[in-house]
Amino acid sequence: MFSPELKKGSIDLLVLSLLEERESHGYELGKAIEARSGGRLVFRISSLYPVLSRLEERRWIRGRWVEKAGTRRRRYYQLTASGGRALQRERATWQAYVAAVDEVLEPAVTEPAGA
Amino acid sequence: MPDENKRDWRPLVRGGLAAVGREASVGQIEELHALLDDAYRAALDEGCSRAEAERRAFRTLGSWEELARELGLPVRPPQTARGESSPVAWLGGLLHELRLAARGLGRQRGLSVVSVLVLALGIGVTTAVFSVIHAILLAPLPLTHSERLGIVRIDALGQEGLPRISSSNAIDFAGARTLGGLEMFNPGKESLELSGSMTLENAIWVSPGLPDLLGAEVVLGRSLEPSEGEPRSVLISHELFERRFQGDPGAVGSTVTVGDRPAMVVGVLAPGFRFYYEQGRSEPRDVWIATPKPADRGTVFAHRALVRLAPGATFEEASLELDAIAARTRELDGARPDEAAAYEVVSLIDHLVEPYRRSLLALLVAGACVLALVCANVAGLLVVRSLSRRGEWALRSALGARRARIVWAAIAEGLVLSLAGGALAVAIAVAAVSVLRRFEAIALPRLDTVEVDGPVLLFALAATTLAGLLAGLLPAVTSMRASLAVGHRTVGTGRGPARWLVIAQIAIALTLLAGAGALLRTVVNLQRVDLGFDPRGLVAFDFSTPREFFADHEARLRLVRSVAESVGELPGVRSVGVTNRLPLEGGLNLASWSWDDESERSFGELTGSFHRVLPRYFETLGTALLAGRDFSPADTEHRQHVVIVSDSLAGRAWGLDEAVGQHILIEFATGDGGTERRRAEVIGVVPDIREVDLHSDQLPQAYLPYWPESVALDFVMHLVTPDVDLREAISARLAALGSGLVLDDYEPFAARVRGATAERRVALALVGLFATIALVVAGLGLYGALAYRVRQQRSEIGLRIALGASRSSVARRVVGQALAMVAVGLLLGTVAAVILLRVYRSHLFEVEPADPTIYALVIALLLAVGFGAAALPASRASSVEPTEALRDE
Repeated sequence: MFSPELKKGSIDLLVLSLLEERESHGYELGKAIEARSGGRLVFRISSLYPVLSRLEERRWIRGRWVEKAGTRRRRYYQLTASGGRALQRERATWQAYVAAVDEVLEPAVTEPAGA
Repeated sequence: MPDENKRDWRPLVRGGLAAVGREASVGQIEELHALLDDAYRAALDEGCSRAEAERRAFRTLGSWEELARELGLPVRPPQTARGESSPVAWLGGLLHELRLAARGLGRQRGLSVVSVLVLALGIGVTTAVFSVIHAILLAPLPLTHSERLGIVRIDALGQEGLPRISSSNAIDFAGARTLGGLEMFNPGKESLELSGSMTLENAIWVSPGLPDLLGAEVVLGRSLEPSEGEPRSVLISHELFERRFQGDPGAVGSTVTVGDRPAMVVGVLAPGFRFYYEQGRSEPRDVWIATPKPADRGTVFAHRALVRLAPGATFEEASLELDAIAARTRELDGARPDEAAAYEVVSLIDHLVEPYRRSLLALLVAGACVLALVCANVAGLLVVRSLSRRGEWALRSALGARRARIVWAAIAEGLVLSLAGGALAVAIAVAAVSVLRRFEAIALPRLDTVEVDGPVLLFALAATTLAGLLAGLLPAVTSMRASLAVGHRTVGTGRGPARWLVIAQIAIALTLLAGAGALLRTVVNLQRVDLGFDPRGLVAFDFSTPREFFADHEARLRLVRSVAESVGELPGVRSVGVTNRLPLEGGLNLASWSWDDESERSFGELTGSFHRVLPRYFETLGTALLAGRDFSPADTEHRQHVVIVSDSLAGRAWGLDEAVGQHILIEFATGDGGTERRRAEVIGVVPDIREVDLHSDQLPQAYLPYWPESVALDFVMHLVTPDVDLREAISARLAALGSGLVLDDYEPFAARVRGATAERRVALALVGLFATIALVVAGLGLYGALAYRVRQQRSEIGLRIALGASRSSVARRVVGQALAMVAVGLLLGTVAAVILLRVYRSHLFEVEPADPTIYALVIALLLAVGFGAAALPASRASSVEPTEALRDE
């Protein structure tokens, strides 16, 4: 539905904001994105997992193995402090970007932002 | 609690990344596994079949290239697939692949255990056979340049390849151009008296040059010299040096009594030195007695001759030359018994192994065939298994895995199984060899040297590797084709050849089982044979006498009688009998007879065996006279011309009731080489007594009273309690009767009777072992073929069930397929078995090659195996879910 480039540009933000709500693991994150987007945003492991990996490398999120029922292990991630700051920046950047894009696409309809 | 839905995604992840030339860290693999597992379980929770869930999970993965790129994974070091990699990397790759294979097989325990066991049996049997062949046929004799040593043999006296020459030959052959040396020897037993105690030792009389001709190493003292005088010189074995001289170096130069004459110990042979000269089992020689070469001409073939070829000469040239020399010198001896004799020189090793070479090689071929069948079947099982993973193969291939890697992975599985089997096989071979070495019935020369040593281990390793490659090859080819197939389509394999392989296996199993059955009946029949005597409590013994006893016939007879009496007085001994040849001794004293009604008119000549016995011989054997009386002491004393005949002889000549009082003329060899004819009155009739073995046709038997000049003697005693060992008591009695009497050959008759069936029992054990392996292998082969077909026809079966076919009819169809194959195999096998048993008829005893009982039992057994093999595939077929099977396609 959306181009890979488009999705790729947004995924960091999606992951960080979901983790801001609560700690979560990879599969749950993928499912949450899919559910909230009404099935329009589906990330495969090959694109989602490298993001988690990269974010953890930057220390924006921190992962830990949690073992359930003695057999299944999952890696749960939570937002770090620097991750929270990064999220603020990313979110601001994203909103600014969206606004800018909107401006370009629909200049006549949109009133300039007032006070 | 076992997790039924457990699925390990790590190999897939590793393989997928490796396929694009990347490698992930353990942590990354763990997490990817967890992610795939979550997707898989979620799909299962939604009610998907496992296959469907696997597919869905895999779909959530995306592309390996992207994953690798986005993760920034390091490029994987080049491994197995590329030829230019270093050996270390190559080995690492191989080990990695083997580890993967081992893990995969560990999950399919049943299949792996069965495969390992049959591979172990196949490799183990082949290795054990090879160890025998290696030690007996291939290993050089432990002698200097043993390949240049030869034995002179003659075809004479109605015998072929007799290893004997005459004194004249010895003199004439001395100048042969092709020979670098010719020495005489003669093995036997001789008493050795040393500081008052006397033992009977394995001796060998040798011309003085023999030890040097052999290259025998003397570790103490000197070897024999060409001109040995009196007293005689002897060499002793290191074993005897330790046992009788307590390793005292003073042994060399000491004088001992050998036989009835003094002799001087001149040297001690190296430890373990052994001269093999006999076709068959022989004991090491401990006393080497120097004996001069014959100086006078003589035509009796009394010597054995060992030669060393002259440099450049061959055995063929030597044979031709000796033959020519013998022809030239024939006149010197006048009429010689060797006029038709042909001389031949064969290498010592060929002489030793000649009678066994063919059967040993046949055994190796049989072992190799069994191993090949095992490999084919393990391959079949692996193919069935790999079908359940064909999706993975196609996947790995689609992901760009090099085809070589996929083939490698399949071969690695075969190797893992065969390596495990090979390790077990070595244990089996070691056990088999130790049993074999103890089996006295196996008359192989050098059997004592058979062991699982370096070369045998190498052979086992080679066989293991080959078996692994063979077992992995078919699955490799199949998986490669799978990798080429688009999507998950079924891979076609030659159904025809596979089918015929199974049929052939069943036929082979039936043939071997029928052979084992026929041998089993043979052994049982042999054990039921009427021996003509009762072996319970019987013990045979013999003693050696100093030579002086042989000079005086009367004195010797007195001695024999007093030994019989003295031993008979021992507590626990019921009676003692004396003869010149005991039952089941394995040989015959032949004589030709005619029986007459005064004029020796009409009955013609007949060859039979004759014996000399003292009174009470039959009583001791537990053989009741059927008519007439036993010998009396007077018959011996007064040299009466009386005879006791066997039942069959009496029946043929006169009838049992008429026999006593009749006469027969017996012609037999006398001690001085001539023959004489005697008219003897029949005084009694006894049952036929088994002489040579249990199965040969019985010759007519005649018993004459023991006469003073009768030479060889054997004692047999009947013990009240069978298991008492009277060796010491008898030795004491012998010592009391005269110095120089040494007990020899003390053997319970039960052992002798068992020994008479030993050869057949060895054959039975071997054929039985092969038959068992063939049976297991045939069952596996059938199972593999059926399981493969059920797997292949899943959608067809599913469709049929969907269209209303009952599940039991589906199961019946599979069983029907099995029975069709079994039936063809049984038919072919029966024909082959009947033909084969006809060929080997001489090995059977009172068993018909087409014995219906054997075939009925064997066929029932194979049908049971057929049903057993069909059970699992049939139940699997009947449980195919139509929807699932259809969706699978």
